[in-house]
Amino acid sequence: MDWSWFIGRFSAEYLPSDPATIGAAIGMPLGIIAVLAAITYFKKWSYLWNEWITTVDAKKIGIMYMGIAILMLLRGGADALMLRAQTAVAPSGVELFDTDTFQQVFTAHGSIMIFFVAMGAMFGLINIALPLLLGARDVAYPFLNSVSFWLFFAGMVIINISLVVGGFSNGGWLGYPPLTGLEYNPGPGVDYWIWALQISGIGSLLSGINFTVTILKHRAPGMTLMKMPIFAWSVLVSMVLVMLAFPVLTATLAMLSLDRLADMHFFTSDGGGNPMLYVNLIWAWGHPEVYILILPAFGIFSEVIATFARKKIFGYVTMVAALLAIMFLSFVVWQHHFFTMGAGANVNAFFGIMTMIIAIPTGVKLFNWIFTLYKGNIRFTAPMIWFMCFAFSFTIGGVTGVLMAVPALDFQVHNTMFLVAHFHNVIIGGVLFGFFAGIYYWWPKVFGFRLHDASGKLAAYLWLGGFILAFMPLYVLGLMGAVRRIDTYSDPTWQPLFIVSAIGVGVIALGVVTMVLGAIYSIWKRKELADTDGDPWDGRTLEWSVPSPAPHYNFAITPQVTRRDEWWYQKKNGIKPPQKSDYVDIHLPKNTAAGVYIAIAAGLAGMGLIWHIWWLVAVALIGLIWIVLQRTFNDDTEYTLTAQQLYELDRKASL
Amino acid sequence: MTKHTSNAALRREKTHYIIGFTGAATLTVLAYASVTAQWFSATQTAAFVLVLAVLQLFVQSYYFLHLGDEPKPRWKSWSYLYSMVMMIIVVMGSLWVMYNLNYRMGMTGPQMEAHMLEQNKKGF
Repeated sequence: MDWSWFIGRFSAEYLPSDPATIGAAIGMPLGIIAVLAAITYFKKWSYLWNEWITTVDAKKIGIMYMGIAILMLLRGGADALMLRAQTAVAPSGVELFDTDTFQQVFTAHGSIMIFFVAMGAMFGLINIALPLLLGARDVAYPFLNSVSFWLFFAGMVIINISLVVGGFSNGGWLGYPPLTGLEYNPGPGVDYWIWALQISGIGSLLSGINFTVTILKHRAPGMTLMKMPIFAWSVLVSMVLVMLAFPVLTATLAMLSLDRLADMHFFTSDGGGNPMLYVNLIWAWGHPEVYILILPAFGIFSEVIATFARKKIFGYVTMVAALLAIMFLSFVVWQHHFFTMGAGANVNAFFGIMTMIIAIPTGVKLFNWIFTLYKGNIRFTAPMIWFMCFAFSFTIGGVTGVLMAVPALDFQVHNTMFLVAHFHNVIIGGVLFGFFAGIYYWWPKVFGFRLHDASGKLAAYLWLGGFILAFMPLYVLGLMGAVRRIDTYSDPTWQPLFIVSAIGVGVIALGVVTMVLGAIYSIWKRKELADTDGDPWDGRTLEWSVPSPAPHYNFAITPQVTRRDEWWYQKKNGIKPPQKSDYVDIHLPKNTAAGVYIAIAAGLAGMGLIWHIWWLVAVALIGLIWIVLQRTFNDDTEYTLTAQQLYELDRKASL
Repeated sequence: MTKHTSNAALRREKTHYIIGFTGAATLTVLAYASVTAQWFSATQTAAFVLVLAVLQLFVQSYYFLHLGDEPKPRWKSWSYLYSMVMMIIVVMGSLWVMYNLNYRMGMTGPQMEAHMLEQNKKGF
């Protein structure tokens, strides 16, 4: 009997065949089953469901984002180890995996690191910190926040299912056609890539709207825009970029999937299509995307430096001006990613000059941080050490970036290891170090105890050292002519440099291990590291005015803001303890499972589209619309915390 | 908020919508008529319809989206303006890049050779 109407194009040939993937394909489901069994054994299902899965509390959603991001960092990191191990041994005649697997591994590495590590950690930290910094009770749309997270989760699940059945895309993290077109990639790999990005991308767009509205409408009374912390400004600019750039990604991926599903000709080489248009469109999203990631990291550093230098941030107004300049300029540089595609000198010169100009606001920020440190009373805690490592690494990355902004030079190093070293320089040394600083900085606010400081510093040094070992050889290799994404090469003089690079990845892995062990040690010693007064760093902004861990209602009494660094000056001028009459009734959103159901429906629709199971697509989409409608007509979404209850809760939390 | 809106404000809003609707409808009818009745030549018609489209954009933004008619801070107007600017940059920029690429892709082998020779004479 023909079952293809039921299982789509699935067949035995899509099951894993080589030993490495079979290992992963068996290990991963076993691991998941073990975790589920443990939850059942310890009877934690109702706790998990009520406290986490259905939550609409931004801080908890933030923690879940961070958890997924760290898990995916481990998976993406394992991919990186595999890639560098292969290139280290290649000339010795050893082939760890075949070329096709190698291509899938670097595609998975890039896609996972950008979409599920960097984006996940960014939204995680914003969720944790932003409402507290603004003096807000929650984000503007708590339910939408839950939908965003679960769509992100569904995308993550889809990208990981590809490990078990069907294989992943081999087209690189941006999947240029015609390689990712139907002609050269008829299997489900590219579809996995498209739908994982598409579903999590819609989640990102919803988050962008959510945080923008939060910043514009939910600031504490008295906090004008120019009194906001720099972190809030950086998030505002980043989220504006999300709102403008992500529709471009969605449309581009939709056109690529129409090429693949409906045999259309947007990006094919024949039938009137043009693959170069895909490259143009994906980078019209892709360049703003790198600023979307780096700006919140800049914001985190601004908060960290002001706190640990015990000074207000130097040049607040120029900081904001630099952010706004980047908001505009990041949309007029995208063509620098494809100088070599054949545009004329005028086009290349325009985008090259624009790229050099965008380095100016970024430089302004770096100088502002250095001047903030100048004559500051600096404490070198773990977040500060992450900043020092960042300043070193990011400056090198920025300078090589400006080098490549010169089209004539770019023609020499385009798509070589030089480029690979450059963007890792700014993404690891910029984005990731920023988010790590944020984790060490805000951890006590979320969990009520600090992370062990020395292990955090050691991790930072290991990351920086490993980074230098892993990527400085790649700069040299790039200049020697090593193209990116090679799994083998014939020049034996390259091998020592590739071996150094592989050792560097190993050192970075040690850094990750140090962080994980440090976190476990801190949990063990949480009584000694406890944050008793809610202000462990002698902070400046409003999040340190509430007890740690921050209560689910954030602020028992809405703070009144009169100036920048409000909490710092409140502490100086003496804080009046709140009177019982200061408390008023507040309304809080009820937990809801609708976000999870929407994401399940979206994920099933995605799986149906990947495997051409059309009945599943239809059922899932109808279900999705039904859940959305049901939620829309549900008016019972809030509950009231009376002044009396709030007073008692606040007394208990402050003790 | 609507509860406290006074009668005068309501009447003003009503007039506002009626003007907006009449304006939008007139512009649409004009565009339709200019094409069906063939008032002008083809190029002129295209230009005329484009001008009407731009007017339509302003009428709808002002009378229906209430842009420029909101109390400060004018988030709606600013975000609208900024999105328009960005959209124009991305669309015009893409067109510029793609036409440039296509122009150079469109050469035949001999044409390319002649072009390269020409470039060589310039010294690079």
